[in-house]
Amino acid sequence: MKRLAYYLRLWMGYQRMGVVEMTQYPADTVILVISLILREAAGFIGVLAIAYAAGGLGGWDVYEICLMFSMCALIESLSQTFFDNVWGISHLVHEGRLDVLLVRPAPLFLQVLGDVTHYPALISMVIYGGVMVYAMAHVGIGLSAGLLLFLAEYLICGIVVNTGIYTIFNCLNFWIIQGEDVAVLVQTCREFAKYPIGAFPGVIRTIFTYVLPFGFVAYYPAAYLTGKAGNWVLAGLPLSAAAVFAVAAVFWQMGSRTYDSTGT
Amino acid sequence: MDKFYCLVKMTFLTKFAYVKAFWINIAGTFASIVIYYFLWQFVFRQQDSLAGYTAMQMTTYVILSRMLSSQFSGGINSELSNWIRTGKIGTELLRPVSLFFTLFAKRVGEFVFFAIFKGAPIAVICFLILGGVGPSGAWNFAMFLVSTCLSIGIMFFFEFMVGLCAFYTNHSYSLAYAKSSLLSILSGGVVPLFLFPEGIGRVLDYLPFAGMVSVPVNIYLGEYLPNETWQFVGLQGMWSLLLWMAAHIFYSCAIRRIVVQGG
Repeated sequence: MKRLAYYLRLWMGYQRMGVVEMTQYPADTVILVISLILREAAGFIGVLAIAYAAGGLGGWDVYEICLMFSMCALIESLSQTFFDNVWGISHLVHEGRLDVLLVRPAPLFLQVLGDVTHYPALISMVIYGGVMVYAMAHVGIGLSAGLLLFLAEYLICGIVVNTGIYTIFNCLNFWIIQGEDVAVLVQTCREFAKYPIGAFPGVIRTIFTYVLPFGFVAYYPAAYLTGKAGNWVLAGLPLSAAAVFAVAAVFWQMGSRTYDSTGT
Repeated sequence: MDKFYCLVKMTFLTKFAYVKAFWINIAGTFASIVIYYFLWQFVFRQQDSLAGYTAMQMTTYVILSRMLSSQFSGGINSELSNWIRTGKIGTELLRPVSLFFTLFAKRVGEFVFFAIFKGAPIAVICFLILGGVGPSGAWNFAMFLVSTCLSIGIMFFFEFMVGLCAFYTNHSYSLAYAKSSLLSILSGGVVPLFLFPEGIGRVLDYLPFAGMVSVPVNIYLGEYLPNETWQFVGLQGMWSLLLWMAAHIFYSCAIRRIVVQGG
């Protein structure tokens, strides 16, 4: 328990660093927020325009698509704020900077995550949250204890799935040079999961449900909320999160054990 | 012209040095084409045509527009802002060719590389796999090429100005992201401009951004009448001229802020 309190204090310290960093350069923060929003907006406008033109997309109407997109963006921005440094594993390994972290008396993964935080992403999250509430109001989802519980479950599991998959592939850096290339490829494929997966052929659907469960980051939860998917989503979320977490933990453990500095 | 050729060649060699980044880039473009292909297929399952586009034409639009807009993620703006941030711009300014000339040659090199190794192969492969329609005539195809080449000018001056922003901010990479998404939305790279609300769509048609994707692709598809085609191509030329002036004015203002640390 004492250890846990210590970790928490450490994490808070890292967060304070992140906030200070953000307020140091206000102009850059504004630009970063705008660019984060625009990045999501491109895909969003695309799918919305198509849905408007066709009056829906595979049983999803415009507001339901809004809901799904904002949920996806919520996870994305939370991951960017707190978990973005899994993408830094390549630098840490190849430049031998992991040495410094290894000799410190704190868990390695916590230090890696704390190293980089993007608080501006949290600001963009507020906007996506607004879109989500707006969409929910139009779809007719009322506020209830069940909804809040589900959202909590969804946010936790979604982040675990999202960050876990990126961690798994970024851990490849421990064994191969430029392993992050594979991770970037995976991230590219993730684009599919931003759209109603039901519109894609069965192979793609299967991949994003069972192999790389990005479907649980937005599609299935949104489908559950709008009554398109049954209660199995409630179980599917933690199951997929647990599976991804387990694999990621194994990869991280094995990877950080094989790490033997670069000698610089 | 010799200098120009050398700079173009240099860009080619740099590009060849990063083969893996190139493959990842291709995979990304391919994925985005496939995504939009399936989304549109879904739409056309319920209806035969949409605002004069058939399913085949829309497939063509998706392939060409995603291919053309994949250029936006590159460009010379990140190189220019890196120069500004690291102070390498000092060396560049000392050279006997102007900054505009160097960067434009590099941009042309990048474009030629894009056209030969990415644009053409991707378009051909996607046409073979996904289907699509050919150009509606030889003249249309020629004008498509003319219009695409003209768009380098617009892109270059725009990127140049985005790069110059590094004089005022540190975060050049988020600006680069903002640039590429903004351009793909405004140019019709994500969805055809006619899908935007009536007024907005018409305004976007006449902004310089349409010249990068929407105009060439619509010319290819034969959506414009011959005299409309000339008008749009002429408009592109005018925008290049205007942006050229804007870039020069911005440059002469921004360059006064130059700080180069010694060493």
